[in-house]
Amino acid sequence: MSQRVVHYEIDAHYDATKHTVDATEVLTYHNLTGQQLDHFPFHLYQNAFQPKATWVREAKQQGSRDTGYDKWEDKEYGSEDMKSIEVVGQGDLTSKLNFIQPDDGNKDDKTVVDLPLSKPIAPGAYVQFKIAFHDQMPETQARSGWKRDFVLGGQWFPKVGVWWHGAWNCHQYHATTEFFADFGVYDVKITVPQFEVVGASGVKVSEVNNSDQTKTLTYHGDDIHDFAWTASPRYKVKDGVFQGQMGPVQMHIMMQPAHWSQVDRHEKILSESLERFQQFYGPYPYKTITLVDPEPGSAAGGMEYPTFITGDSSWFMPGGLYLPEVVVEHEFGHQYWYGMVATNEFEDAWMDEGINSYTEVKVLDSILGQNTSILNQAGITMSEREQQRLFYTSVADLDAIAEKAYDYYSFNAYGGTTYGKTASVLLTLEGIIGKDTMAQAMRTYFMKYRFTHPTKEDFLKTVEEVSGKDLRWYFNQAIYGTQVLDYAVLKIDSFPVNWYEEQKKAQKKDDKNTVYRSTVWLQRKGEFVMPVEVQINFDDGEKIREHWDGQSRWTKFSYEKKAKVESAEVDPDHTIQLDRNNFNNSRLAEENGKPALKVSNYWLFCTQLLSQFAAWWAV
Amino acid sequence: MTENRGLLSGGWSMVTHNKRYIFWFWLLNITLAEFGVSSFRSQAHAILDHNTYSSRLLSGFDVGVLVDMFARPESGAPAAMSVPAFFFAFVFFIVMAAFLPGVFQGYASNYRLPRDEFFRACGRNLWRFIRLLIMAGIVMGVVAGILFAIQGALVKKAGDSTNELLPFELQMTILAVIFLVMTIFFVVLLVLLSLVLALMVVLLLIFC
Repeated sequence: MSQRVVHYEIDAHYDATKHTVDATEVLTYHNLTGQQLDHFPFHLYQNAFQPKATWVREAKQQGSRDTGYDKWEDKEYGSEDMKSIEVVGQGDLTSKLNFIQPDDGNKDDKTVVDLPLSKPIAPGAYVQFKIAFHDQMPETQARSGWKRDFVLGGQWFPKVGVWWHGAWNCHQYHATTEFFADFGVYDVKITVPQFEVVGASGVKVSEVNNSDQTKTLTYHGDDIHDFAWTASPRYKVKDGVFQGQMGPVQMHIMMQPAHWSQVDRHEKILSESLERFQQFYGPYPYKTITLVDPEPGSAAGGMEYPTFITGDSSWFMPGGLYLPEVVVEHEFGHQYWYGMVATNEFEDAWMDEGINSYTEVKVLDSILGQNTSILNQAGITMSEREQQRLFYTSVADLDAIAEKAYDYYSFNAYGGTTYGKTASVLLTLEGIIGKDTMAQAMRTYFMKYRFTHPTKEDFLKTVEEVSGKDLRWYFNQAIYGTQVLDYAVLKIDSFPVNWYEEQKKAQKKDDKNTVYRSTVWLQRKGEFVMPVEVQINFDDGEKIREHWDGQSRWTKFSYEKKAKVESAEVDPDHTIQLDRNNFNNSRLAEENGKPALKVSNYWLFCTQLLSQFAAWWAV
Repeated sequence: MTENRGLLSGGWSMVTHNKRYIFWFWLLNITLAEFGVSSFRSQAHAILDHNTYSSRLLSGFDVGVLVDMFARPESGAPAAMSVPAFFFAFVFFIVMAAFLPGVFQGYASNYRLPRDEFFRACGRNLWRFIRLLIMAGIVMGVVAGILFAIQGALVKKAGDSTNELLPFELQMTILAVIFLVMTIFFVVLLVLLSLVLALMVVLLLIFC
């Protein structure tokens, strides 16, 4: 399994009235860095939720998923106070703690604290930190905090940074970043009021009622790199078992009472996701998976922690609208791309969110159908791959994928690029190296790098090795570059070769002996250069495939046949998901007004209805 | 049962005798709606007519293609689609308000109303209708504003509840109440105005 660097033993008491956590933490760190360590940085993520903190500043300026910060409200305040820290053998070093801001120098940001040691820790040695801390949880922000009587404890304890590539990697908490931590063992005790229903990462070891109307639950987790928990008095719970490749997996599903009718949907998609991920990528090695349906209206939906995920649903959820399925599948996918293949989410967000979005398309295609994986209601359809592409095209020319998560132009650019563009890049890559090879590359990547912290080059080289192809031309544009891909059929034209003779004759319209000169012009409108296939369809049913290397700005293909060109299409197999404009990928010789008529007639109907309603009601 | 049949056949007879009004209003409605949609229609034709991608809107309805179309810069701003629709809905409302007195006259008559009589009825009542609408608009605007403010406060408060459905249920219920109040209010206003007018006539008759 993993190389266990950390062992956290936490004893936490949650005050459900004040939304505070008071806890002690014993962190045992194994120095496997190969060199002496003389200081240790710690994340204090809850300090992000303060008005001058980097997280809030960025969220206010660039937007965020949950909160606009038009005004500051006290309930949004979160804090994480390291009350004391003792290093075993070196005494109490609390006074030596100093906040650092390695990313932006914002002195008001207190999400990273550094601890210089009196004596360095030798390579191979263990060091133990004894910490006391106090959290004030905010009303849910960034999938952490409370809402009404619900709480989600995410990023709630002081967490040591990661020694990575010869230096400490401990970034500030940004509005667009997630997390990065070392693998290890977690033993966590949580004390809450007895009426609470609790779920958490890892395996529940015990539950003991205390005399003061509280109860203490103990959890244990191996080979994980984070720990989250939730509590609410109103959860309704369903447990199930999935027979995994490495033994039974306990599925613990915690639903809101108003969503209880959807519990079977949640269980089904969770078990199907488990099944597909094992089949496609590799075994799920943990004994549990907890799926939480969080409090409605909270900013806690759609989040991943090791062996613990949150879904997102609503009391109104038609059977053909697969939003709960999409969220559950996505968050479960993070057990692989984040949970086990633990990439650096601060610096390579695309490697967890993007690769996960790609596998989301693959898995949902296989479960819900390629064209219907988001919506399939009353003949109206939409697919996951379309959604990812639309997400990408909305920000196509802003950022490269290989950008640090906090360096994107905006929150939308971060999302569209890391999720949508990456998924589109990998779907397009399937067309270049073949679906089977791509599937093999993904499985190889997972099996090789599970329980490690791979870099972007580790992934790209794996794809090159498995495919046996030099793909630098593609990666340099798609991953490292901002080139936009847009191929177009510029024009198609057919006219009789003997046009001057034809004009003289009284035209026989269906003269099958007439020879036409047909030409198809193609254009590369974007900077992204990529070879493409073109299909030219003639009106006698003949189809011709051509290959264009895409190097020049435009090209043309000409034919002399007893048939006219009916249509031409770039990428007829629809493998180039990255193309920014699908409408110009094909061209018809004779226009087809039916789609526009259909759409505009729908709008006509709506307009009629609107004016009828307004007039009849008011008059 | 016989009475009901009589009522229904009477109603049906009234509709058939006045079907020209229904036809003309329908024609007016679809014509104005067509104006409202025309800019969107031409944009849709420009984007969708010349490619095979848009055929995914024909067999079934692929929402992704529609979203993709709206996301294209050549689709223009969403307002370019909705503003004309709202504008022509408003025009329909005005035209309907102008012609409704004639329609009422037609329905009230037991003979086919000649065209000149129809327009005369419209003309006679036009200013009365406009005044009524302005007055009703002002009063109803104030009442609706107060009711919507109350609704907003109640729904916000309901948002603190652990019952997820409560805000929605409350919102729908209050919307229905507002709708009814507005509708009834208008009827009550008409009755009150009629009473005031009648009173004024009586007073004039007494004192003059």
